[in-house]
Amino acid sequence: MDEMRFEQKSLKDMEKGKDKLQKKIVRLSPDGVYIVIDTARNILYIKKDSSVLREALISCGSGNILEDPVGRRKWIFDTPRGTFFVTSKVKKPSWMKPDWAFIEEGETVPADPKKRIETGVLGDYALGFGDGYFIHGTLYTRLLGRNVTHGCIRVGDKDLEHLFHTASVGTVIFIF
Amino acid sequence: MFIKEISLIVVFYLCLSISWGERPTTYEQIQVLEAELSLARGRDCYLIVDIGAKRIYLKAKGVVLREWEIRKARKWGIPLSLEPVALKKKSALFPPKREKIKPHEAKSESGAFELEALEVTDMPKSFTLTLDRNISLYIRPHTEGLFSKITEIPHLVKWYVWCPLRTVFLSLKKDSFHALDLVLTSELDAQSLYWVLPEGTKIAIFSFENDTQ
Repeated sequence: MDEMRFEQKSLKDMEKGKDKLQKKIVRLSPDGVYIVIDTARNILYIKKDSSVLREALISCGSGNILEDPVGRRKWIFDTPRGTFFVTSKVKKPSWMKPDWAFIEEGETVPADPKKRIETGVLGDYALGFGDGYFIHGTLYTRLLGRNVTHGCIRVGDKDLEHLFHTASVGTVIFIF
Repeated sequence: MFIKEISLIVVFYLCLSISWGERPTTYEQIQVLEAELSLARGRDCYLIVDIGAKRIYLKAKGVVLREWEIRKARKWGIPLSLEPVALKKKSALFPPKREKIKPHEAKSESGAFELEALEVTDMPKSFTLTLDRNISLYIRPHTEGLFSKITEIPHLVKWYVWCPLRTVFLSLKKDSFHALDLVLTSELDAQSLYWVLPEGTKIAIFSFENDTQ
């Protein structure tokens, strides 16, 4: 009889432990709105809990490789995967062209940083998520839905505007 | 004599394979949750293969990002531990190849860039995921018709020849071999699973009869 009571008690304890663990996992999931980016389907979802608030066609990384013919540098144009956060929000962003953009065009990398600035190519808004990666607009809207970028995420104008006003610095981004 | 021993080992593992799918005890359910919690604490995406639920879940921070239906599952070897394992290698007969950009050809005559894209449809439809602890996951899509029977031959060789041989080889080294043959609903499902799994991804396999999620 005592043995049975002991077993029932330990079973109850285990059930409690189970509930605690489940709650711990739930607590790790984001509060409020978060962004999910499916790089295979080129779709961005704005979600809250399990409901989709908005779905947008995007362009993600091409997966191509570029090698610097002079130096020994190499770039792989993948969109990074994992959990990220919106780290910055910029209106009317300018593109500070990195070295690979010049190398890809067969041009010399300029010494003057001013020569790297290009305006009007990133759309009206940009949301940074670390390491120089941004969610931004595009001039090539016909390529939305294809994997053609250098790692950034291109979004159409209307979806980008909605995203910019919905997400804040700190919003979680899941990329897979 | 040696053949008799090998046969006994193979029969033993085949019998053990049958006993994989049992209902999880409360203790095992706790182990499942502990495994998931350890994965959810990281910033990387992780995979949960739930044989009972016939589902594969891609998750991050406990959130389901994508799921795939398992149409058919077969198991080889002794039941697996619930501890997550890392994906060591993805292998396929025709693995996807990244394009190299040639700087002088990057711009077309019109001045617009023409980039060759590596997309989900370039991914293999049948492939092997080699995990730590001698675990192999054979992923393939469901197919129908005579042609599909022909394309199944390499897989049958793998399952009925390679698996027993690997089992015997590892048994002699006092180690064990585990394999799962997972048939997904469509070719695109298999390709998208290949796409979402960078090497190093942590994978937890729950092989109970009923679902654990």
